[in-house]
Amino acid sequence: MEILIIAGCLALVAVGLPSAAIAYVAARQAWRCVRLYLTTLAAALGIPDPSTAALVQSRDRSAPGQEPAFEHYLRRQAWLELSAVRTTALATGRAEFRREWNRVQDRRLGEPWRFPAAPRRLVLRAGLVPGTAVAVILLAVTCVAQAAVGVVLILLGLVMIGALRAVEAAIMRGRRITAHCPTCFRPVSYPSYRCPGCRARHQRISPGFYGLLHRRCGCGRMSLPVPLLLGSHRMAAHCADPGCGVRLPAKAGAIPEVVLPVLGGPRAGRTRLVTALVLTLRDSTEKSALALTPADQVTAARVADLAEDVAGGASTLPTPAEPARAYSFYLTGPARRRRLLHVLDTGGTVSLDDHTDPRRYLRLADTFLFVIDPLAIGPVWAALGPERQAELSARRGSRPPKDEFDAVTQKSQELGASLRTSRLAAVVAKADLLAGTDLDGVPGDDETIERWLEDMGQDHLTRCMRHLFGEVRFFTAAATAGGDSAAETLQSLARWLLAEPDWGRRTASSRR
Amino acid sequence: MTQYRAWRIAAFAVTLLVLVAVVAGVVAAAAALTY
Repeated sequence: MEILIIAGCLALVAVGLPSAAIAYVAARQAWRCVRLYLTTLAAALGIPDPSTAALVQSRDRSAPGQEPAFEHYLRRQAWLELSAVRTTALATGRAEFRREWNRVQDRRLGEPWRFPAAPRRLVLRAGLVPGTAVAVILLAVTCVAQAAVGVVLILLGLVMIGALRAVEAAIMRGRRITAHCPTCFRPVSYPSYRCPGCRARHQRISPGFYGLLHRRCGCGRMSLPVPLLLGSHRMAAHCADPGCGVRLPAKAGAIPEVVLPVLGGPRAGRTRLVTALVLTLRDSTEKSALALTPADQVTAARVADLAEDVAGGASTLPTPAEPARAYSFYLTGPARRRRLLHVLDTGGTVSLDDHTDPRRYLRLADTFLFVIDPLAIGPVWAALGPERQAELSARRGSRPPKDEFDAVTQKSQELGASLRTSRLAAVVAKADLLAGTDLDGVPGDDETIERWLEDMGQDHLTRCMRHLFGEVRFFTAAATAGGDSAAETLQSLARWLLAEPDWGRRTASSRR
Repeated sequence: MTQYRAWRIAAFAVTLLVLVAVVAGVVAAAAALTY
């Protein structure tokens, strides 16, 4: 009986000890593999020391079609790092396994084993294989889980991108916000911005591969807000068209926009009328009046230059025929609602120049201002005395108003403008120059102005206007600034021009 | 280099969590099979 007990104990020791040793070696090997993976991962991710992380993306982001910003981590960098970690950990782990596998052959590395070499080797190798297998399975599952988490995050990100873009578009549509370049008049759905740190130009800042809410510039210093509604409009925005790229007024794309083309022939008095209109609104002290302030430095400088000429009664320089930047103003109404007003002085040659594509603003406007030069009307000119004619000949338009109107409207319709849903303010300019002549002075009322034009042989012009436009109203304006009645006339013109369009017309215009 | 710092820390934390979850799952499965 005692012999049996002793034999049993010996058998237990003979089987149990090696099994425990094998289990120990296996657990140690599994832990080593996991630790190796974690330390390799930490080093690649820069944890705890950020300097150990490799920056795979170049800081030079100037390649064609590439934005000067770092891509989102999940776009490329995460996968590159995980792949590098797997490769490094696999190579290191294989080398360590090989070293452990051959370890017992080296007699100097006998500790802590007390068995003879052959059993020791057997126990060690028997533990290494299952330990490594368990670790490989564990890490494979971990890698699959990492990839799954990454894919889920990417899918969530794509959904977020779509949702952010949709919400932004819906809010902009709801607020009736559009943005157009004041120079080329292309629609600017996403302006480009310059990094305040390095001046790099970010072509299209929108939720996407470079970030959902923020993107980091390639210079590494600046984090730029991405959706316009998060504050992109506080940065200096530029036209996104590579051929244009001019700076947009502040808040472009954040507040509703109004486009007002001022049409008319050369020397009709467009520039003078626009300047007088702007100065009247700027200097108005009425609480109920519309208030204008320049939206950019270009407009402020141009208005300041023109104001001197108009106030002094001097002739303004002819507006150049080449595409010009619009006058941009912030327009604040009685309800304190701000809008961005682009006033286009067309250079007087819109009807003649078919090659300047910036004329696309004609498609955007739903209110037009057409300036009629009374001196270019034959009967009016003929009624002036020879002295008066000699005096005013330099200020007389070269073509009759009807010719200018036909050319302008034809061009607008070619460009797809729907004039039937648009309004037209027809302004008889230089009305004060006709005072004291044999003519009856130009009346100040809408209907009587129209009748006066018809009496002067312009019935075909007024009929065309009524036929083409949904709504037409006639005004007069003086060639020289000053006087309460002139200011009141301009105020009423401004109120009519800049009144909030009703929904139907605006919707129709936004479809164009 | 602080670029992607937050994302990298999050990635490491997720990896640790996944590992712990997998080990806990294996242990729980083994315990369930044993008993």
